Amino acid sequence: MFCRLEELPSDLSAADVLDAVYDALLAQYDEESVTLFDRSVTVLIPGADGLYVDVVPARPSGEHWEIPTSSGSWIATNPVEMGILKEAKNDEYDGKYVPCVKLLRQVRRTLLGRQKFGGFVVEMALYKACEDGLVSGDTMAEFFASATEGVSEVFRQLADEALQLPDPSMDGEQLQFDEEADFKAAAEKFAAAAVDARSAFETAEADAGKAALLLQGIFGSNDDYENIFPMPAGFDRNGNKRANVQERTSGARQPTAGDLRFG
Amino acid sequence: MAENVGAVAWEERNAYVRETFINALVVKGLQLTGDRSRGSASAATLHNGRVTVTLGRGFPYLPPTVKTNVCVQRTWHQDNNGNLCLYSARERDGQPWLDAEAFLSRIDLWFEKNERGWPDDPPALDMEAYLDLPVDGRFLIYGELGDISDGYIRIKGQGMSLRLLGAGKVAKNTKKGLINGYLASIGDLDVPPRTWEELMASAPEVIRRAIARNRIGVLLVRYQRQTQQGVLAIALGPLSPSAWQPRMILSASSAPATMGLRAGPRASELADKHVYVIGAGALGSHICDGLVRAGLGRLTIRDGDILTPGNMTRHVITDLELCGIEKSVALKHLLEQRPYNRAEIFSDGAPLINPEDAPELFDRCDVIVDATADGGATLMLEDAAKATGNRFISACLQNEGTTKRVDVVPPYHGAAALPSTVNLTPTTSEAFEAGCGEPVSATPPYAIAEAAGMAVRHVVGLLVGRPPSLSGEIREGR
Repeated sequence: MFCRLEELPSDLSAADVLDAVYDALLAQYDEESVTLFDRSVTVLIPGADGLYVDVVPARPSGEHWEIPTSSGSWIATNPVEMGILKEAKNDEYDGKYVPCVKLLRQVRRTLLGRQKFGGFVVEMALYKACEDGLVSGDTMAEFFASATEGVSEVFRQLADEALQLPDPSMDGEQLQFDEEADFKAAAEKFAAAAVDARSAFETAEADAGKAALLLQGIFGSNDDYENIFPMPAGFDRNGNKRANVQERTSGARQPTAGDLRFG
Repeated sequence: MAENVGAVAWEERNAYVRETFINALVVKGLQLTGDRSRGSASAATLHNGRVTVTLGRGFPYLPPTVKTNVCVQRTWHQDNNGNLCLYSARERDGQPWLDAEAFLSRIDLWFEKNERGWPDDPPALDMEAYLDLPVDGRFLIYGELGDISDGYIRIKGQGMSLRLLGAGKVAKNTKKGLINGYLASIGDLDVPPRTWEELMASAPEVIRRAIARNRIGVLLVRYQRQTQQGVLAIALGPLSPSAWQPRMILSASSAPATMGLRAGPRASELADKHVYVIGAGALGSHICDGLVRAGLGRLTIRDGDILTPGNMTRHVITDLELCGIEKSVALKHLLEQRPYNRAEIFSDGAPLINPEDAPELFDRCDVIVDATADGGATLMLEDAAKATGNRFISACLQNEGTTKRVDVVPPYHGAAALPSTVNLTPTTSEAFEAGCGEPVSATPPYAIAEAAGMAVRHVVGLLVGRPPSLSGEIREGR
């Protein structure tokens, strides 16, 4: 959530602004619910079943805005235009793009753990991969597999070719990433995940449980240690089909008395 | 614990069928846009550019609902909620929608037929399903409308029930619970009207004027679909001084033609037949009722006994007010009041005890049914039938109702009679009722219903010249 501070004095540091935002939110929520990070303040909404809001303070900067960096400075951003571009990309891919961004953010958490860079990086990597024509798919499963492949390729280019990613929301601007971001490791891990995602997509419906195991490895678990990707109905935790579950096809089952009954 | 395991397995089984179906639709190009399903409770939505498919409660045992996302020509095949009518109730056996390809083909077929104007459309008469009006809550019954021309009609209201009395105007200040109505024909309907305004657009000017003058409390709209005629009832008048709101009244016909629709395939052949039923006890009463329901034209009921409360556990008569009355008279009275009755019914309270009466009974009717379970009457009829070259049906139960018999006496074409029943040792001791010299039979009511059904089937078969068997039928079973 962008917290637009229209009248923020220009001489305030990012750290000071973050502290002020933290204090303001602390006055509304308790200490356990509010957490100060390098670039934002996160609020865990009480009683909302795990919903949290990431508050990013933003100050005006010409036609655009500026948000804090992890090193304490400010960086330009254009969230409105970014939102428009995101929706356009979503329309271009029949509604698969936005959900895929969320999926890849989760993949980032699972694969990169504490070494992870920001979710925005993954989102921009996907955007670039789409722009380069690396991503396609008729179904969400196929699209995700393709997106993972595309993102791993962009990470590889960032690591091996010193790729500069233009910021699509601001003409002439380049995206700035954390200098310590390990794109090489990320590329390898996303490439491995892409293999699993592709394999899951190509697995036959009858082996949906085995496909689910692959995806569970990619998406990991939530704070309650439950798999993000649920095992489909009819399969046990090892991905084996349960004996009591059978295919039900049209006409396979008729009432005992046959059809065209009257009562 | 075992029960929980079964319940969990049931939930998973239905969830598996649902997820498999959803996956199949996704492969076919639909996008899953929402899924709040849990176990057996389905709540998933998919769509493509043309339709939105919803798997709701009832899936997989009920089909998904499908709405169009594009404009389509108005039709009788899309309900008030915009759902396409894809499957009739008859098609639920076999769950044809579970095959994703067949399901999508059915949707394609709907669009194709709608484009062509539904050339082979069966004339379903359900305008109520399409007209967007609040429901009144009352129920209107109307009889034969063929003799009533368009114009004012009189309706009687009693509580939640309305009855069409006939043509004519109701006097302005009448206090007899009479309501002024109007019967209007709007002809053949290619598409059902969806709103009051659309309905009024096809209404004659005289109705619009009468409505404007507040002279009509109920509007009966007569419409046509191919050769079938439908009727829609609308209540008119204010719910409050400031809220004038037409409301739909659910209605149905009690005309003989309608009542006969469910009488069975032989009904028209029975309309000129006369059955003489001797014995109006439990079995005979149900046989008489069954014959009347089947469309019999003429029925004579003969029994010399009177009705008592104890009879009613097994008897078709259950009104204590009729106790003490001859069974034949009480049964005639009851059946004549039944809405499905089209028979001319006669009663005779004289018991069949005089041999001289027996032969001429065969000439007075098409079939005699002996439901007396009385040795004297039954033997008399058997001997009289053989002596006069006639035939009758004898029905009874034995062995505490575990044996049900229908005997054709004598059998057709010289066939052997069914063997006599072997009497088994009773399982209950004899019970006696005050005022009754004979023990009460332990035959249960459900056995009576079963035996009566058998008997009516054989009587009907005999009447239409297609008897189910030459000698009759025995059914055994505890």
